[in-house]
Amino acid sequence: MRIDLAGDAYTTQFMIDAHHHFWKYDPVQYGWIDDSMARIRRDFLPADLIAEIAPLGIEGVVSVQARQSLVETQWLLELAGEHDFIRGVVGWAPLSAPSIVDDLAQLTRHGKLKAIRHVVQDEPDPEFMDREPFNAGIAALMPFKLAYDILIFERQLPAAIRLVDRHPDQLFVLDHIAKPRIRDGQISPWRENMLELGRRDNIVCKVSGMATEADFKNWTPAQLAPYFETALDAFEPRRLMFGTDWPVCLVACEYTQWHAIVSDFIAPLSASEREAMMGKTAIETYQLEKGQEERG
Amino acid sequence: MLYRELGRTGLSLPVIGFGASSLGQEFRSIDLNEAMRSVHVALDCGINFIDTSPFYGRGMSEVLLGVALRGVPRNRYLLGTKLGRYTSTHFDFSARRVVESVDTSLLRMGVEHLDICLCHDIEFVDMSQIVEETLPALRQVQQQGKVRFVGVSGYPMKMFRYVLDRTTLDVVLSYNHYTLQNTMFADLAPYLKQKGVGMMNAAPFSARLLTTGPLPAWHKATPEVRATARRAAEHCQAQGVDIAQLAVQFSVRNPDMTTCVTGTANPARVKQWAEWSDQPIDEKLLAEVQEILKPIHNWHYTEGRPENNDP
Repeated sequence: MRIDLAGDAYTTQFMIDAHHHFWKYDPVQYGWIDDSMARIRRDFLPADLIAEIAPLGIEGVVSVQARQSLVETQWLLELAGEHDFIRGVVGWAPLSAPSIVDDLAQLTRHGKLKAIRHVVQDEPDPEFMDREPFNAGIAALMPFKLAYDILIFERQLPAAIRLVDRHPDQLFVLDHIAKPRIRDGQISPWRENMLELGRRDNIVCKVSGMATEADFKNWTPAQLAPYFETALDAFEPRRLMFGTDWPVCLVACEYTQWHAIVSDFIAPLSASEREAMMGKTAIETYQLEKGQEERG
Repeated sequence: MLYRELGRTGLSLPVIGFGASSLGQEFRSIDLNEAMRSVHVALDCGINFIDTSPFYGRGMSEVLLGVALRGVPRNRYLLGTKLGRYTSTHFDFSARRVVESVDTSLLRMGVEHLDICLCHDIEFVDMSQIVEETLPALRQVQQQGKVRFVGVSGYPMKMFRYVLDRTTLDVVLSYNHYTLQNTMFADLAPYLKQKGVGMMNAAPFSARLLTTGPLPAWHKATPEVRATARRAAEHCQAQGVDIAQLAVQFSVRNPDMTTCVTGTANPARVKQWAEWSDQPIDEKLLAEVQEILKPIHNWHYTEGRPENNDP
């Protein structure tokens, strides 16, 4: 815990990394890690992450699925059971399958499962999010008090808007500001779609994965700034959360570097807005428990 | 199991309906199997009308019904759900939400139509919205075939007249108002019959008030009401009868009440209720219990907006 004396009020800040991954590297299971990402072709486990977060004073993390398998979700929940700093897990479950309720009942016996994510960005069907079986799975989440993490490319934003509208009581989280085309310097129609999506109050957004949407080798914080500003316009700080996407971020950006860039971006905001972005929004969205050392 | 016609709908409902609010609780996995089984036991006993709501367990009841009813032919049961109330404090009776809510309920339960859809606990909102916005939107959904019959549900009697003086309904569902202790819903029968509206009654035990079990923490009964109800239960016990039996038999024997919706996640209890409903009531014991409950007859409490409540 740190006491923030610099802002407009005394605030106690719990910092949370709302988005990162763990894996035991396997070239078959992680086929998406291509040659340009050679740096992350290895295991990334809790000890590696502790080394990154401890110096920055980040108290907790949310671990997100990277493969589409119940085995991985169970593994992430096991890790979360062993490590207090893993406050929540965004797992995968077969949302479109008839067995989804049984799967959710089974998985939620572990209290740290906070959300479900499907890698919609890789679905070839442009209307995947409009399909009935997928929507039946989404409709089953709220009773289990689970959020849904939306992982898409910017071209899928109109479908995401339809999804969010279709489930007004379901809480959604937009991952990686919907992956805009930073590499191409293209901001429209992503910006317009983000502003439209932000009008819904049942969705919050993660400020993460931005450097990896730019040119890995030749990007600058200034190049990311307009995208960050749009996220701020669309969601405001209270509905944004800081995430690193570590270790994926490492192909373009060090953990500490991304933390420093986001800290610079949010420096002009008020203390309570910064507090929301750096932890409070994540704690509220994913209903994260405080760590043992903070209980009292 | 006896069946009765529901108003002018042409539907024939069992005198006991399965109240699936009981499936909205938090379950351990072993209870979960029992809860699912209670649905099948109900169907096997001829209790083929199921009443639920997206409010029960914030959707958990509908989700579990979807699992329990998987593989059960759709023509084996009649299914009613509700809309507009989503948590104890969140209400949304907008036209847009009507469409979304019905679609979400259909998805959760894995069915293509609802037999009944009710505006849920409308006394919590400005009821003019129900008449002017919610019901017209629900009638459109009915036109599309997703819902067969529409109505409203809630606590005060006043709300039924408010709505029916302004528009038409196929059915209404009342709770805690046709029991050993409170019979106010029966007073509304001539008015509802004249309008051709089907009457569904729920909660014959008035949330355990008329059982020997402990009252839930949120129960609004005053100390006098609790003490009187306890005396009635003890009187039955002395005759070797569970007051719950008398409560079920009393609520199902009025032919104006098409069905009496009551819920449990315990299969044995479902079976018990079905058996009780087939047996004649002990008239002498009923008269004695009614005499005991006389001082609190028609006692009721306030739900929702004060202006929507009964005097």
